[in-house]
Amino acid sequence: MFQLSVPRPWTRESERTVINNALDQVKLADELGFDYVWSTEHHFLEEYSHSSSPELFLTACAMVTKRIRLGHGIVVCVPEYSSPIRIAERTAMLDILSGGRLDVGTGRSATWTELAGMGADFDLTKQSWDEYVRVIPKMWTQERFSYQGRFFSMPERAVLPKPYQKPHPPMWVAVTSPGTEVDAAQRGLGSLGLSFGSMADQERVIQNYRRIIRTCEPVGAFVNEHVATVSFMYCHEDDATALRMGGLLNGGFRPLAAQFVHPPEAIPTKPSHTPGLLSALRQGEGPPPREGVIIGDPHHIVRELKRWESMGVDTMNLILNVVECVPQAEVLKSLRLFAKEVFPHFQPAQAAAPAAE
Amino acid sequence: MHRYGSLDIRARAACAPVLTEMAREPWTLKGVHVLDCRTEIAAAAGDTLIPPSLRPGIPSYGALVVSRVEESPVGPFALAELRVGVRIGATAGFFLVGAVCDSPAARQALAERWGYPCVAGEIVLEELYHRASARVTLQGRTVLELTLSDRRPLPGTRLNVPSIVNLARQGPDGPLLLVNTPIQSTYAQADGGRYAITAFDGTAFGAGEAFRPSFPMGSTIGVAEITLGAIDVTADPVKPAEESLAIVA
Repeated sequence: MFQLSVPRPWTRESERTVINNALDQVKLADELGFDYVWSTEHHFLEEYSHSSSPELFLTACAMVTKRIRLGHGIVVCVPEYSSPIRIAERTAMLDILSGGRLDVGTGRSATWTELAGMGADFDLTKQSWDEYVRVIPKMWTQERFSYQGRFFSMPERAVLPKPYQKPHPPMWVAVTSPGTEVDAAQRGLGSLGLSFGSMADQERVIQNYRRIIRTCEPVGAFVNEHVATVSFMYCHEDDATALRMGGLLNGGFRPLAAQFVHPPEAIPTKPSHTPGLLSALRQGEGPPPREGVIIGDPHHIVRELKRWESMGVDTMNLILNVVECVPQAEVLKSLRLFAKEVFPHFQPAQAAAPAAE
Repeated sequence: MHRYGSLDIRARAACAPVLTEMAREPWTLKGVHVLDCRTEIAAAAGDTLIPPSLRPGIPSYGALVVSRVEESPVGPFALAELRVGVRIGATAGFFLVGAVCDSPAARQALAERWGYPCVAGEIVLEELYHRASARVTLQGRTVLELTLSDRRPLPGTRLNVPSIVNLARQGPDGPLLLVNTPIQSTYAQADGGRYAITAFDGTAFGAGEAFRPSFPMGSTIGVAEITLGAIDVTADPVKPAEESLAIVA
């Protein structure tokens, strides 16, 4: 999972270096057999994420890879960010360019920093997200589409191009706090876990998701029952070395994440507003817990991944670097070791995608 | 790498409150009418209001808060505060740049026990059905005038009041340190609305020209029970807080 975090001091080459390093990591991940590359959408988040145009980054990924799936997510489904028409158009183009390798994650952003910067109304983002996830698959699949809604309306038009995957790319939603899994399950969307809650909490979320999705009314043409979660990843033969590097990842990430302003700090909002990933990262000081975290020697990593698997997690998204605190050569070495020592303990992932016609 | 504050600590040292006893027992303030107006502020100037140990929020933001306390251990008093949003390590809080208080007993207790940098002044907080307003004067000179209009009830009582960080001296000849006071607020009722700052003199709050409202955030008027907790954390005002945080036993 790539956020493209760029440490200060910024030079002309800073962002280019981070992006090129990320592309090299994606290329290697493709060669090694990793299943997904996800790219987030963030705006104005200094140092933490300079990934404001993930569709362009993923297009570059598509051009340098052959088989890895491309996760565009989450796409912020708020009118002040993007019209649903533009999301449907650009994701369809990306799906074509990648030969049908796109997954689309949806969400609604969580920081005042971003939402106020875009002029969005915090209290309406849940509703606009709901409208977007219902109309985008129709734009993809119907030859012509028209709509009269609360957040946008359009006369009958052909939204083009159409995705390469048929009926359309798999859809997900960011699940950052208890309760969002219900929204995901009810709509037949994949659960894209983006919080670092305890394993017990996440197990409850997954069980709830699996139970509800059995009776869902899918917003798309098919149900994407799929659970993903996220962790930092650093793999090294020596567990102590891995922990030291892992500490750098966590130590670099948390202070950055904590600096952004959340709506409750700025304006009283309805309790339904999720504090999101950044808020979760603020919890607690001190060293990161080991349980569930994919940092360690291969033995530790296999054990923790097995634990996640037994809880019902289908996919673990891995954050490989933060503000370039791990040297690029070490990131690539970690990926290679992971593929060599960890992959053999697991079956290939069941693709979330429908078979292309 | 990270952005930190750039407050000139030496310049602030002379007016830093002296803690004669670090607050160990919480104060419960009852019937507190609070007008809280939050605003983004210009980042570069705002950083000069924050000690080098603390990081600003992104975006930089602050709050103008006027409170009228009906019941406290030192009787009723009113308080006007200028706060700037900070991060103490990875935790959100407000650094108190300056305050005006109308009660000598409250000024003394807040300064000596919690390190509140209060000066004497007059404070009027008025509430009407559709609006609320506050006026703060120092020796007859208006230094702050706030109005909240278009009042509308807010759902729930979950209004966010994070901890307050003060710069104080530990004893008359002791070192300067930052002290963190956790704040708990339970609102019986609260309204949101639009606010306007019609008069503001940053000098009265120790901010000079550095507190420059740049984009409105939220504002509330409400009635709450507020607990000023015992000081729970101290930090060196110059070193990054994450390296010098000390939990008060």
